[in-house]
Amino acid sequence: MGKKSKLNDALVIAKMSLSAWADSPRGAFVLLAMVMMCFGALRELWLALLPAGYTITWAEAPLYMFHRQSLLAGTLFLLLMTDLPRKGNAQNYQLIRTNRLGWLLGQLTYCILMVLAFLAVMAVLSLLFSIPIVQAGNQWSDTVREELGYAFPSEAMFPLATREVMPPAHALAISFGLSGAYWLGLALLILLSGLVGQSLFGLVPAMVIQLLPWIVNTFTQQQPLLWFPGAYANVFHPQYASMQGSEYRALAAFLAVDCMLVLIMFIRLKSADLSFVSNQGGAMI
Amino acid sequence: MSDMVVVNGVYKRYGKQTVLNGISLRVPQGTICGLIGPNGSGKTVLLRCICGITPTDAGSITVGGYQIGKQRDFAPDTGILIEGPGFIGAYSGLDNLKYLMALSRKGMPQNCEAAMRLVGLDPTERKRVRKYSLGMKQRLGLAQALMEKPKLLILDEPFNALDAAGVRETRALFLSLKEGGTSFLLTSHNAQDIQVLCDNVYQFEGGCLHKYLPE
Repeated sequence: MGKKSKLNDALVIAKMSLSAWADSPRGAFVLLAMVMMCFGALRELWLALLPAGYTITWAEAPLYMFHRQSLLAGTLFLLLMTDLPRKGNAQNYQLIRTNRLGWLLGQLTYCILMVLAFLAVMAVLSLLFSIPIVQAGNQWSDTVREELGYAFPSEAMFPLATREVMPPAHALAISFGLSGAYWLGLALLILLSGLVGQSLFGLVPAMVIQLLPWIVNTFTQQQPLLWFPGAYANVFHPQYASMQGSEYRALAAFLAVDCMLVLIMFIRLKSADLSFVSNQGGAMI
Repeated sequence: MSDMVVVNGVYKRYGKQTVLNGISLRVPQGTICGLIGPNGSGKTVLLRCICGITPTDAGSITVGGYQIGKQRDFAPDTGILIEGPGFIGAYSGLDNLKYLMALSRKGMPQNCEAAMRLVGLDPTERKRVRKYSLGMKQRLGLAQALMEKPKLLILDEPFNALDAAGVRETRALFLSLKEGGTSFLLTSHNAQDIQVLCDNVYQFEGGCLHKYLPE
């Protein structure tokens, strides 16, 4: 099987997996939850900014979501990826028409496309719901207000330290990279455990990585934990403002973990039992 | 007559349970081989091993001259229907088949339509698969197994959910394909299917396979 045909197989398998969301109540629920999450968070901004006639720049709306809603967004993403590798009886029909490598490439392509789609939906929704207060430009609106004397740093949406070292568009690009690489890692962890026959073995640590800081913070009322992977997926991590280039090192570390997980999958692939049977008779829920 | 499938001393264990205990089996080309046995006896596991989806613990499996797991990942030139039919519910039957054919690249869209007609489905019907009855899904599963005109068909309970007419038509279809040289490995709970169709019948018992001798 040539490189071109492997790529074709990967794209067809990924497309089939994506198509299964078309009639999935779970997909509809997650989309609705994302709409509510973005609307709820940005409505708070409207209520705070609109009466005073303040605005934000276009990149700040998605940044605000990634900054304030990263926990919920990551959890919703995990909800979409719980059943990796995609369980459905059509999978048998795909397997017999390709080979193990083509199938795994299809799963990896699907994971990457899901991450990109999730990021895109979050960005589009946050831009959509910020229309009443958004304007063109690439400056921090907090900084503009502070310079004009309309606001104090304590009232700012974003930390001063980050605002001083990068403009919003740059922060948004880094944020996409960090969140995407982090979410991809969580998805790959679930996929890897599916290849060893135990999807839950991957889902449990992925959920722990995602939710433990929140649980600990809720019960201890201490300063937010900043050493968990999820904290490093946030571009406003204090370290990124204090150490030049540390955000790129974090991105490289996330990508290295992703690559390591993929490498383990390739090693495991030959002996993996690819018999994935859905409890719902092959239907996605 | 050459053998389409050769299973040689295959073992498969799940935890402490030995599901396949040194299974050996041959399916000569152009014949129909039947497997019978109670639920959970290992029929489906054996079919999955022959396809290459489930790796074996020991032994070897050759399909069409290629050793599965070594020379080929999955059984070559083989149509399968294992563990019931499963498709993308939001798409029509024809669209589902076209997707799968895009993977195999072994035919044209017309082959999908012809396969659907062969099993009694209307390819022009735009009804989504999620609105199909169980019997229609089973027919679509058979169509996907047949559409690339494979040399071997591995079918797990192919008559499930079919009405009496469907069973008759499908039996006739299998016999005509067999005349054309297609080999079959199928399981069935129905003794009549086995008697009418199969050249060789094997029975699962305690993880072992015995030649079935009707009383």
